[in-house]
Amino acid sequence: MNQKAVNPQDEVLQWVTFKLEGEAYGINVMQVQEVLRVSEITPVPGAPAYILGIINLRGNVVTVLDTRMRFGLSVYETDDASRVVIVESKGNVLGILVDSVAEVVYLRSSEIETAPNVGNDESSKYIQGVYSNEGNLLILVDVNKLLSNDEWQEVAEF
Amino acid sequence: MNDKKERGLATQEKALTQYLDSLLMEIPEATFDEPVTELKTSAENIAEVVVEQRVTEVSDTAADIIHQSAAVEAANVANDTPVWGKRPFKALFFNVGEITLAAPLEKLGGILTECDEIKVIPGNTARYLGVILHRGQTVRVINFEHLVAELSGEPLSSAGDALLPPNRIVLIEGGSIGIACRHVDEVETVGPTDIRWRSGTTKRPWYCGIVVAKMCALLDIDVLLTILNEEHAHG
Repeated sequence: MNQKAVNPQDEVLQWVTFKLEGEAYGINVMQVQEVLRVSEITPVPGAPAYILGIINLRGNVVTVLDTRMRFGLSVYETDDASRVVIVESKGNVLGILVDSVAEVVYLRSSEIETAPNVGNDESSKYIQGVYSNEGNLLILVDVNKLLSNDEWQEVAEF
Repeated sequence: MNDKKERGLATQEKALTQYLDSLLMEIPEATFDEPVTELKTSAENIAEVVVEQRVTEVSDTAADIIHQSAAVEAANVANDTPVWGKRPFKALFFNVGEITLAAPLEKLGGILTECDEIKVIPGNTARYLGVILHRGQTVRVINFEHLVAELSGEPLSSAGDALLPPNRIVLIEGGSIGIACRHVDEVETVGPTDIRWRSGTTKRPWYCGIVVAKMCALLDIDVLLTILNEEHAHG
């Protein structure tokens, strides 16, 4: 029998995976409140370019992030597969627009590698780590770092 | 003759019988009338008192609820909310490009339709479409999308580039400045709790909140005027 010894401190975390420009990303399920179909996103005059606008979520105003723009990816028209993932960080709620939502995966902490330092691009600071499985790479996003403290504060004021 | 006597006797007997019957009938009525009336009166009084008490209780409760809800509303409305926003107010909704804006009606000076009379002044900054004469006063007409792009330091959205010629000019208080817009939608009464107020922010101070039901920005006309007049004075 080929049994691996399980480290009790090697916790299992659940990640919600989504796609952006064909790549798979994951965010910690504990920070995901819900996943919505894309409804009308109202633009806010004078908002930063990375903010798509606001949505009315059961009477609450939620700001929606243009995730592709934030990650330095190309502009993309939303389609039926597009989703707004509602995440919570630092007491703030934010919607992040993604191309599609795939599944929830279970990963051990030991299976997550630190993010490879492949450049000084701004986008790389949002990456918490990577997980590779049979040639497929899952990029794990640190929701807390998607916005700076000032930006989180600004988002809260929309 | 005999017939007449018999008819007269019969009539007397009948009258006497009716009288006696009526006396017999009146006795029980006379005995129970007063207490029943008293009882009825008491019952009515009690009912009235109970009803009055209940009405008082209900009105007290309603007053409490109204008072409490007013207190909750007041607590929910931030301290730096504009004065006009601390009570229900009428708001005008209008479209600028793809954006819907709201402004308190009391801060507006009218709506002009003579958009083809806008005169472009050489050296206009992009935030101004030009000027228009209205009742002997020169009105500076704002291209709102360019204005917010300049004020916020953010690039103009594509919608701004595609801004169609305006159909209406919404005059703001004083009438020296007008906001060019495509459509004027409607006037609606908005309550303080219908708005998600912004507070403690220095970014985009010209908008003070979101009208949640309409998902549109509510303009703080006083702040907008101050910004424009300061820049006009320095410019």
